Amino acid sequence: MQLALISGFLGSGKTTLVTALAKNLVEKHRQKVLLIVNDVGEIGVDGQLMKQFDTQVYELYGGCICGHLPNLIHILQEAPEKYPVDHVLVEASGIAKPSNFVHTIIKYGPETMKTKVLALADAQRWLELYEVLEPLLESQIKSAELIIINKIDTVTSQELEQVTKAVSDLNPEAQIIKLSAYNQDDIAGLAEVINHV
Amino acid sequence: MKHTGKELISKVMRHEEVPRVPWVPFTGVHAGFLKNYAADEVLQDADKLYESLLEVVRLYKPDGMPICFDLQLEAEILGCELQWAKDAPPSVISHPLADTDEIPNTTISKNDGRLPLVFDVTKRIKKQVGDEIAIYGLFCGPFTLASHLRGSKIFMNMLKNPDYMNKLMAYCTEIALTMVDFYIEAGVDVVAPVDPLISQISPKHFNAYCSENYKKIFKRIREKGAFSSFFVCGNAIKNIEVMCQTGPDGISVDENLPMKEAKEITDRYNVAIGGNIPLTTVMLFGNQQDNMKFVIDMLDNLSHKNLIISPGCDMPYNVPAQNGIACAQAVHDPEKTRKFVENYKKVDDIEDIEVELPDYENRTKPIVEIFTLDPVACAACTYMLAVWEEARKELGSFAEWGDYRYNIKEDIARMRKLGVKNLPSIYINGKLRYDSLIPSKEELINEIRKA
Repeated sequence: MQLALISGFLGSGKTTLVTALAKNLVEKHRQKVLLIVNDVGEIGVDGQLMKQFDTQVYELYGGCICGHLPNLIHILQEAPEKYPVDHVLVEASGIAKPSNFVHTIIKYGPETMKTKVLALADAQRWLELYEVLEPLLESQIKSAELIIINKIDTVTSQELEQVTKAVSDLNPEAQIIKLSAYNQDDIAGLAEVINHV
Repeated sequence: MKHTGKELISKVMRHEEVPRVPWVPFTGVHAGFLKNYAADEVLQDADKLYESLLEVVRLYKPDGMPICFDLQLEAEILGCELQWAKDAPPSVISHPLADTDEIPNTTISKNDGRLPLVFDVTKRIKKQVGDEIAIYGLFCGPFTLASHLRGSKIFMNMLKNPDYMNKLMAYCTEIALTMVDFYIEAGVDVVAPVDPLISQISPKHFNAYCSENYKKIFKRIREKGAFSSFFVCGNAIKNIEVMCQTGPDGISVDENLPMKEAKEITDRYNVAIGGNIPLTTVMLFGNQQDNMKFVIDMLDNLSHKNLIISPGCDMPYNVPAQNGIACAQAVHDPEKTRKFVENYKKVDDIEDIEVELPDYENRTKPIVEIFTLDPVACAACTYMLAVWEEARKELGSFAEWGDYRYNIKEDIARMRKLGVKNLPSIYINGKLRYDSLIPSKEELINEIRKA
């Protein structure tokens, strides 16, 4: 079982991305996927969608940010028996720091699970948000093995270059992928990378 | 001279030396867990909340305690929809100011939303235990409240629309000041704004939008004769200094913050600091020894002046009761606990001994076995053993009884063979029946009769 933990600020496109990625993994790679999101309402998940995608969807909840982690661990511990899947896609809370989650997931999640940490950077807003939210965004980028710069279709090549440089300076070791979560080819490319954890 | 918990908290908040570091468990919905009430029950039923809080007092021996830990109280009144859960506080799922730049002018009254429940229980708890235990009144800090109302737009507003942001923060600060007045009227000793989102923003933006507002809040609390504690979640190390500069009596931090480093800053400002037992890895998934060791290590590595031991934030709903009891034990009797943890480590290294388990399948009567660490040194074990013994006295030869202790080699071998993971536990017919919760005598007897 492989787990991809996707962090990124609110509105950066995490929900759109994980939904598109789940669809691609199911349809093109014939994989079973467990999707763990912050707000089921946002992707309009219902029985029809679950049936169509053959995908289990669960929602994290719990007052303060701290409340999500116990719920996530609980779902992951049940996963091998209750929902045997190939892939778990976890959309972290938009204001969560992945380093809080990763260590605990690795320690208390299923033993055979491989974890990959992804960070989503919104090409349109990242530089501005960094001015306000430096502690949070820095933590998200630095924790990631793979950085996805999203919404590339909404910025100029110069703006994209600035964001790429900024995230790369924070985490030179991370792989960077630039895409639009609405572009099927981009998502297909990401799915290939995810599958080679 | 023995001090009450309330006196200890007061001394810490007045920055005096204390004979013992006090402890404040943040038992929000976890209080309900102790009485088998779901999270949504305990936040919407005054009697259940009251009953649950008394159980917190009984088991955890707190020096201070919050009435509830619900950052959604004010947001709900101001128009945010909530999503309720059985094992967590509710979450805000809509933001009434997301699509308008108008600042509301609505105020809140004591009779709005769930505030009557909160203040009713505050007064009842105050009457029952308020002479001994410091009562904390928690409310949502203005920045987090602003984000509940505005949604994620708030962060771009901070950059691009400072005028709007200042007005929104002024409004949320007025709500906060109203909550301060209500709580103090209800009799709390410590008023605590809880503002998790503060950890996400830079000190520059804290100073721009939060600093002056928080100075007003802490000034109001001080003028009205109560103590204040500024709660933040996440690694707020960059903001600890600016938070201290707003004038709280104390700050409460979570596990993401390096406590020693944070205390060096708070000590410079003579501000108390509380924290920061990890919620998931220690309190929820750890065992008693993990919790005891964490608290002992804090006591050994931090100066005791201006220090309160507490969980990093609101405790997860289903933290095993013995872990909370273990923390309390470590705070109330660190010397005994230190020896207990050391001895436990040594016992852990012994070889396996051959033991024979009862034939559970072919039993002629129920087999009721209790497994404890050390019923003298371990408080949780003492409570559970007491219940088991009462049941044994009453049922007598109706059942077969076994009492096994982790400080006896043969008993350790038995626990390993049976697969006992948590201590204390009660097994009935070889199956785990109680480990996280300590049953009442009546409940245990009923279970035995059914077995």
